[in-house]
Amino acid sequence: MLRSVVTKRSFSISVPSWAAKTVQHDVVIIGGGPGGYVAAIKAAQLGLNTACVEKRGKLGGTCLNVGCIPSKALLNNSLMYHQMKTDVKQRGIDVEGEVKLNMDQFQKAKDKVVGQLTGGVEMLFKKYKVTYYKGNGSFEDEHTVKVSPVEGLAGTVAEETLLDTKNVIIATGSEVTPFPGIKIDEERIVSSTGALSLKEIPKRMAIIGGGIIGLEMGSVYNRIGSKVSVLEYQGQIGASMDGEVAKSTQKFLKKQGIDFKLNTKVISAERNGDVVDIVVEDVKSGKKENIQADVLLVAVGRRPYLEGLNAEKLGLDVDKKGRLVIDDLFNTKFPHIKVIGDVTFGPMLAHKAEDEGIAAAEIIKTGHGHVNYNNIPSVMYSHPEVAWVGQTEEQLKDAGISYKVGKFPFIANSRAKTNLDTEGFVKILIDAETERLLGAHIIGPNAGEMIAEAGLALEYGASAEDIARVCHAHPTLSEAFKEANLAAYSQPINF
Amino acid sequence: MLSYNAMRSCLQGQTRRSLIRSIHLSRSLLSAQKFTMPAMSPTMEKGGIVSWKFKVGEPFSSGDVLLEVETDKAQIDVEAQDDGKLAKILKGDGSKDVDVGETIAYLADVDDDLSTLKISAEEEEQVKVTPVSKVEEKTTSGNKEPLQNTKKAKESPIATDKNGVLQVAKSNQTLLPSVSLLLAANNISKEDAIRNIKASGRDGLLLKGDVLAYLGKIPESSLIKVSEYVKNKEKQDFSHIELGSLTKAEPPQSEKLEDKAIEKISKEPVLLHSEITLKVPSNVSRERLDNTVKSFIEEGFEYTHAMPLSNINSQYFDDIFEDLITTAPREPRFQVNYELYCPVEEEERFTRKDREDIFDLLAGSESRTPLRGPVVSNSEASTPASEWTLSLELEVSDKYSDSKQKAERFLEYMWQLDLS
Ligand SMILES: Cc1cc2nc3c(=O)[nH]c(=O)nc-3n(C[C@H](O)[C@H](O)[C@H](O)COP(=O)(O)OP(=O)(O)OC[C@H]3O[C@@H](n4cnc5c(N)ncnc54)[C@H](O)[C@@H]3O)c2cc1C
Repeated sequence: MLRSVVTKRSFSISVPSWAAKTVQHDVVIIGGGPGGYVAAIKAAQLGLNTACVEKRGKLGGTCLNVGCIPSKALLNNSLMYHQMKTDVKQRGIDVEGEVKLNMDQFQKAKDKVVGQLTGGVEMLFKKYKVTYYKGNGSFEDEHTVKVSPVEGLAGTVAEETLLDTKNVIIATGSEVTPFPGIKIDEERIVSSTGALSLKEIPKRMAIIGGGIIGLEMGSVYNRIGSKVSVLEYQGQIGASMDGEVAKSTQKFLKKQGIDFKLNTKVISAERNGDVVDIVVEDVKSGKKENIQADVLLVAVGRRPYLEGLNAEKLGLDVDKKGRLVIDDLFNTKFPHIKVIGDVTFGPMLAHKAEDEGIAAAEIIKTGHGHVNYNNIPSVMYSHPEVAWVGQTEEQLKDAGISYKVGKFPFIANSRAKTNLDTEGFVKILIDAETERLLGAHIIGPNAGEMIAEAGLALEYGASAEDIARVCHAHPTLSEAFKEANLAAYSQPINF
Repeated sequence: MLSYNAMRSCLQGQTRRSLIRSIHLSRSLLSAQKFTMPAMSPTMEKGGIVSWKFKVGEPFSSGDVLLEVETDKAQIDVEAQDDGKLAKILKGDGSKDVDVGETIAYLADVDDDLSTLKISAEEEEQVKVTPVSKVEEKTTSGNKEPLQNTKKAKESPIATDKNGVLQVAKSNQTLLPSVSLLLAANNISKEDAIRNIKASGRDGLLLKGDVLAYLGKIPESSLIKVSEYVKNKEKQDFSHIELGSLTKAEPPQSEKLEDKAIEKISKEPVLLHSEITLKVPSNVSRERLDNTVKSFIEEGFEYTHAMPLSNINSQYFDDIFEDLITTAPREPRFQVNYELYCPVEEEERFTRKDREDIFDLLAGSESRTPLRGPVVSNSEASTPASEWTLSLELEVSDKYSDSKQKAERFLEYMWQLDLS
């Protein structure tokens, strides 16, 4: 059913009602990532005349375009593929013919979600009347943000536009930290951005950095057939994970086929045609080794991004890591210029940026907002997932807090057993005397969803008993969470 | 002689009815409160009572010196923090070697009738063994709970809540399950608990640890320690900031690559495609959907052609000028072809309606409000939805420099339909 629409047109719409000639705003937000766009919507909802400046051409920042969302699309679909190949037979599902991965469609499915979500944010801007400037935002002076057109960007502002504003929220995010001496070409030597859109499955993939991003991308390519090796300088993977959890995580990833080289320093990496030659050195013995890979992923972290902001002009302070310096109200040295998200202190996580965005908007409106930095969950979307919130055992030991541990393995949880998906455990840390919940660490199916319960408990100072006394549906994975709490202050029932 | 306000350390802004509290106070009587031997210094384990400054039944006010305590180092006045009167004295003048935390008296409210004041059996027993013999008294209570408490309290004798982590309990709160069970087990009413127990939870929420400390089952110092630890962790630590310098970082390679991708798109030829997933309530027929889609396309077509590309919020924006500088403003920049796919061909169940709004239709609402805004929230309508795909193909005119941009604007406009 192909039709073409009659292209009759009239020019009756002259000046739309929302066309204001003035460019004064109550708040201008620079950056439309999870920090910036959420701050913008909240500020607009609070009745402030709000504008958001974004130079990427799409809203949603790193997270929606080249971060959380595309990576989770690949993780989800690669897991399905892997399960179809290796897991469904035992469940009585026979697949006739070969299960094949169509890399082109695999990437398209991801791009589609990204398109829908970034478009969705733009629609929300329309709904809440956030003025959206497509262009680069920079400081002219402390009350003026200049929006400049970005060449080649569809819909960019036609000319330099000055925004006169009472408040500014800087939410310019972060960028890939380069590895000294290694040149990223996004084909053979890639950052996370390139790894999210490889056109073919590399036979061998090497990853510098055993942090969350490296391990997630490693999981994706391991599942779809790459031989993945993780090169990590530290003696442990998983960044800020609880030590015990990090060890278990390494174990299950290893079982899945990922190779780990810990205490390994990368000396150099060079592309030679279609392969990458990497030289590594054992940190302890100093022994050198040559490794070859078809794709090398550099995932050694992210750094604050201030390019084009002209923060120098205002003399804004940064720390040694390049993060903009703020106080506990997100203020720079100018109380009307606030900073949120990856470009300032704290964990580089989308939900942390979002919550700061809400708090910053509220502080502008009312003088106070709320972010609890002891309660920012972290999730690694491997399978099983790894999720944690609050304190680790190591942190409690360092602080001299006496604590008790409650653990419950998913092998003893009826739903996990039913699903034939029993890897992992819930580990609960409580204060030895008051029994207050101090930390929750989960390896297990859907751990990322389950961690929300721990967050709620932590926020309200619940004790392990309070959690255990809440009725949890049966059979669910969440019962394992309840049982671990029982174990922490008393005894578990099913273990 | 030192003057020492025994209460200040643990009580701030307490309610009128709560009486004198020592550092290690516990309350298990329904209407009289235990008054225990206060720790006057971090190292104090035992102390003597030089003299009580009030008689039983005689009212005192906050700030009055209630008794004088002696340690091996000094004699110290203990002040009352609130108004009240002594209900019973367990350790009279001259008592020596009283353990910190041991009950030395019972306190009542000024208006309380001492003759009707209840003291539980356990307490009565203690009352009977009052100061006659120190040794004997100690052995009597040796196997009892209070002494254990005392011992625990000794480990960290002074618990000072310098940072105010313990607050007055919020009056109208839902108790946590652990808290209400502990209160019930110890015969404490919710009202009394809220009046007498200091809260370490958010906004005066009583936590299990607060009750345990109040009951003397754990040292208050542990409660304060963990509460302070958690409180500190809730804030970012700005104390170790090392300033760096704002040097221009070299632009990240990944970002540059994205820019390149954008450029490539804008040089590409004259066909634009887009696929939009429509969540359509299943009671909507193809024809009806088709009609609304078509009029929305027309609307978007007109809108994108009429809307100037430059920033209409700019001070320099002038629509007449805009119209003048735009080449052939009335000529179409692109042509739209579209197709609608549905996995299962739906039967026609409803007759078509004229000029229906597609947002109403997608949201499953029959109202004709032209407003677009609230539709997002309405979209979880109860009618089950089936997914249609709207496939768009734009033939972009190569005659005008702004064709491509206008066509992209149009696609953006169309993306409003994707409510997923
Ligand atoms: C591969 C990968 C996976 C990730 N997965 C997760 C995850 O699962 N969960 C999670 O919580 N986090 C994840 N993250 C981290 C997450 O993406 C970031 O924490 C989050 O995006 C930070 O948000 P932000 O708003 O501070 O900055 P950003 O998202 O970086 O947004 C900043 C925006 O500002 C724009 N900008 C910068 N300067 C200017 C300027 N001068 N003018 C105009 N615009 C400007 C940029 O173009 C950018 O779009 C992941 C990151 C990566 C790379």
